[in-house]
Amino acid sequence: MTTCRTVMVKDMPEGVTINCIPQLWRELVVLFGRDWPCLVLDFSAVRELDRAGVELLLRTMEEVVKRNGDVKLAAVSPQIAVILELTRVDRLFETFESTSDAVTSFTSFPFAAVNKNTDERQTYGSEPSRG
Amino acid sequence: MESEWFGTAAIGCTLPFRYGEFPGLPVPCPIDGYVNRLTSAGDLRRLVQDGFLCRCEVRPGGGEIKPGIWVEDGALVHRLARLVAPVYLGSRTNIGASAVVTRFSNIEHHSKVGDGTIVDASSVLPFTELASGLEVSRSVVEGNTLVDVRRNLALCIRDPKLIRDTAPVTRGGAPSREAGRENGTLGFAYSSFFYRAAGRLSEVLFGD
Repeated sequence: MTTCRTVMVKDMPEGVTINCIPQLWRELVVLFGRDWPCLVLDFSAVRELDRAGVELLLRTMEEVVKRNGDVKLAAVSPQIAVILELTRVDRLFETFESTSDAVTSFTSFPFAAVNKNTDERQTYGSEPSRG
Repeated sequence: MESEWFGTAAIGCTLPFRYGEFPGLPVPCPIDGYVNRLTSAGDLRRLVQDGFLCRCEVRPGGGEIKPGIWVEDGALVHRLARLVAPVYLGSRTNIGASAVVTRFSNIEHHSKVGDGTIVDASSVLPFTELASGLEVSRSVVEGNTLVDVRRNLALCIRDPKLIRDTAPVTRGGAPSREAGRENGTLGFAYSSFFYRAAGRLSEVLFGD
């Protein structure tokens, strides 16, 4: 069986604040309104994120997961990364340096994660001595 | 400048050196004691850590209610809050339910930590209110400005539902941190020194 899923990229506005949340939510609902939505939120232009914006991300994740999809963030600036860490949202979303990386991550095998686990095992694991 | 070059050049000079004989070269000034230049938020964090570890003369004020936990008078700690030594709570601080303060953190006077918020290896300077459910890690927070020590990044957070400045307000309507500083210094002993250090850092970081 083969599956072909379309990855949708949404360019986020400069300010993801309470003022633009209703409009943004309406646009996002259109994007994930079907089964298995694959959504990439491009944060390259975002300069401001407040609590309402964080709630929007959480609601988006909730709705997408209900439909067996996934949301990934791309091009998150250090300032926005600090806010995501501050609100403990960073651990819920996979973040990528560019939009293309995020798009390809939906289809490619996560070799980086495997290598990371292997490295950790080599560093911290202890092989039982034989003989 | 390479030290080898300096040694070679010094051979041909008249001893002792006169100040300014080599313009641009650092002049060694041996000092017996603790030195912290306080040029970054990381330096302030190091000063706090060194104070806890008795590496300098700065000490936490207040009473040591448990080993490694210093609390000033008037501090309110919810019974479900968790304090993991070493930490310092200044006077009139308020730690909410299920909050965690840990790893060399200092919460200075008139600051508030919301319910469920984690303060880890961070300094919360006076008159700062952290909302509920946050995680402040390796940072220095003053008012609505947060400095991430790992990224060396200062960030002004305008959303008062995340971090709020509760400094006394002047007649013009702007929060006056200077008024708060005049009323009370930071809570460490030798606090005049610590206060001046933090004040100078504020000037560097926040442009007061």
